[in-house]
Amino acid sequence: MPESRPAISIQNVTKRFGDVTAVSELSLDVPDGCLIGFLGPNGAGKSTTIRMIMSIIYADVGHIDVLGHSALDAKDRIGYLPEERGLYRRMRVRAFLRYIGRLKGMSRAAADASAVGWLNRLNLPEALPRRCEELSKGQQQKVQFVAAVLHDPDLIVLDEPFSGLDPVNAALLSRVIRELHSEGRTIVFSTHVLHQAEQLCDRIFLIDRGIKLLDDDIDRIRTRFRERIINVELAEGAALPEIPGTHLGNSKSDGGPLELHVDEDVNEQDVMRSVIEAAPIRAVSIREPSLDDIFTQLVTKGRGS
Amino acid sequence: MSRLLTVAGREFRHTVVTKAFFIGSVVVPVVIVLISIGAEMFLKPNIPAMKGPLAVIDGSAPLIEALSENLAPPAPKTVAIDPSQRPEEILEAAVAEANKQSASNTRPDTSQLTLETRPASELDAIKKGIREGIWVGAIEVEPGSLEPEAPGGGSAIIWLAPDAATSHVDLLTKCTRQAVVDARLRGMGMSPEVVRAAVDRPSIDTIRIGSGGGEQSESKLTRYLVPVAFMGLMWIVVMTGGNYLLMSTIEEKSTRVIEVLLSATSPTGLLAGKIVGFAGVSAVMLAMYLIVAAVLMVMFAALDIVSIGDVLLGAAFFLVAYLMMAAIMAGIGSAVSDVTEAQSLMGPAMLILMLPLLLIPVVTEDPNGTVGVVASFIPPLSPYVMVLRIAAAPEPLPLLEVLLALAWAIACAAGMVWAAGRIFRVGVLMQGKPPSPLQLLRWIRYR
Repeated sequence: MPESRPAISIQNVTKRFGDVTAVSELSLDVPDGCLIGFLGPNGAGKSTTIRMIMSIIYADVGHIDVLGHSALDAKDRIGYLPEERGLYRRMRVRAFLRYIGRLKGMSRAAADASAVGWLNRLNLPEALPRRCEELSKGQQQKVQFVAAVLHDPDLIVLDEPFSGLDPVNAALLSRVIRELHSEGRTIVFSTHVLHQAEQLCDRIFLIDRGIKLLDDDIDRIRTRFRERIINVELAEGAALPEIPGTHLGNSKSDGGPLELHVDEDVNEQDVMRSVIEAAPIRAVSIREPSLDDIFTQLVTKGRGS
Repeated sequence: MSRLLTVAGREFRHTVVTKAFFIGSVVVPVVIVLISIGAEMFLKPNIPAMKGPLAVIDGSAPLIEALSENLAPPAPKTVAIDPSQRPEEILEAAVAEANKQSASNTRPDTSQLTLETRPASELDAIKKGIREGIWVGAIEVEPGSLEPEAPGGGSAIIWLAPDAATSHVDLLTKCTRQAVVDARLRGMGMSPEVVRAAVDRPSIDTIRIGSGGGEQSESKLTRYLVPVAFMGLMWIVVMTGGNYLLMSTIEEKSTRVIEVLLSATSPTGLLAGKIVGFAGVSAVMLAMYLIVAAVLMVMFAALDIVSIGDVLLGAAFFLVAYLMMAAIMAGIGSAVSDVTEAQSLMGPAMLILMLPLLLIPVVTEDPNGTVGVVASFIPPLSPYVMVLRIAAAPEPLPLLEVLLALAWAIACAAGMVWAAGRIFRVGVLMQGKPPSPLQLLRWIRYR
């Protein structure tokens, strides 16, 4: 069965600003319908890549296809929440959303109806007749999010969508992003907050200094970066005998769980069974690498330090 | 195209449907019309009449006669309009007569003023009477002042109450002077009316003989006022429209809404929409002022001052001037992050944009001179100078020259808009220190 066309196809793209190479020979396919996190430290090239996807700026070298078209032709099918967010201060929310909707090819009535629906969904119906400058920062951010999704796009690009949001609104936005994803939309979002990416994404793209470090499904990444460590919490007063095919990474006096490092040719499940049989335990688990660990490991390695 | 119109529509609505625009572009012209039409009604001063006796100390019969004539209320005058006159001549005559009428309207009513000769010995009593309001005042002409060769032209004293109106002082001063001169003339056996008629300066009609043999009469109105008015109006409207574009671009950039807009339309489309939108704004302003001008021209029967051809050419050059201004303002607006930074770039730009105003005396004096012709081909001066030349030239400019200048101006405007578009698409996403002129040139070449 042939694979479906990627929602975004970036082929060998390079972008320079003067002497600075913001993105270097980047190739990336974002599968249709996936929720991908663009991760990377500050100045890594995330926003530049996103701006090129949005055809706000253009690549010096290489080619980008979005939803099977050139990015410019697909603009009506893309929703975009930029990192540098803003509203017309004196404009009323209704007029602003109508204007953005019209720019995205909607009729006036459809834009108005969609604006009402989305503001209700984000618990902000009272904002509609108000001037943008009268809204709080969080409310403004919600309005900006509505502007990104108002026209029912197939691809939604969110650059740091959670920055500036309180935990309640961040949770609300996370829920809405999941709902949009479950409706089959492709979602790209960049973030510095790795645990949010970990919770939301089914795919990760990691970039540093304009160079791609990682691009894969999150499960495969975890498997790939699994450290083959089994955490063991012993019962009170119990001691763990030597388990063949492993060696201890720490001692009991450290206070935390014991870390059993599993040799390359040994099955982790077999080791867990051996542990359970060898001593009374409270818990035993295969340690999953966090995205923080992977991120730090890759960025540090990529920078050669 | 629909996006362009959407952007243009927003810019137009959010500029025109505002109190500031309404006051600046609708109320002000309407107020100008109202003031023009109703100045007499609103500004007519309340001038008290001169009632009662005016003493003439030791007044001789010739002086009393001359004073009586000069202080008598002027007879109403009707001015007949010659249908064969050209509109500008009728307008000038009407303005001159209106000025005379206006002057007579500020003259106090003297119909109840009486002159009485009194000896110098009564002067103290008369002064007391002036203070008590019994006498309007007293005129004391120094002896010998009626002689033709009176030293220093003679002298006189006018005694008036402390609260006498300024208009009374002015009238008595003027009439006393004139009466002394008239009395002298009569003493020399000459009629003052005849002498006044003899020294009345003639009116001069300047007629230029055209190269084709035609004759073109000119007046100060067509020679100076009309060209300056049209060019000035164009400059103000274009500058205002450009300023709106500048502020709009700075707002979108400083509030960071620009990136949302660029996710929906291209930088070129956005800039084009803004240019079209503010062209509409400028057109509304221009229309308001032209309506005012048309009302005034109809009032003064001066619609023939400009021809339809000149109006069409003016409209074409207005459009070109606007495009050039829009390009400059879009370039500056996209390159800076706030109004303060814009001012630093506006300084050099304003020096250039002010040049058409500085050229007014030179170009109106000699529309076909070297300065006028050369400036007609230098952007962004060309459209303003061409409008000035077209309106000021005694003969129509050569059609080929006009078309060449227009074509060149259009090409320059297109080039400027293109360059502004290149700067715009780079600049609107830049933050921080504003670029140097060299960097702006680099942005034009930027991919």
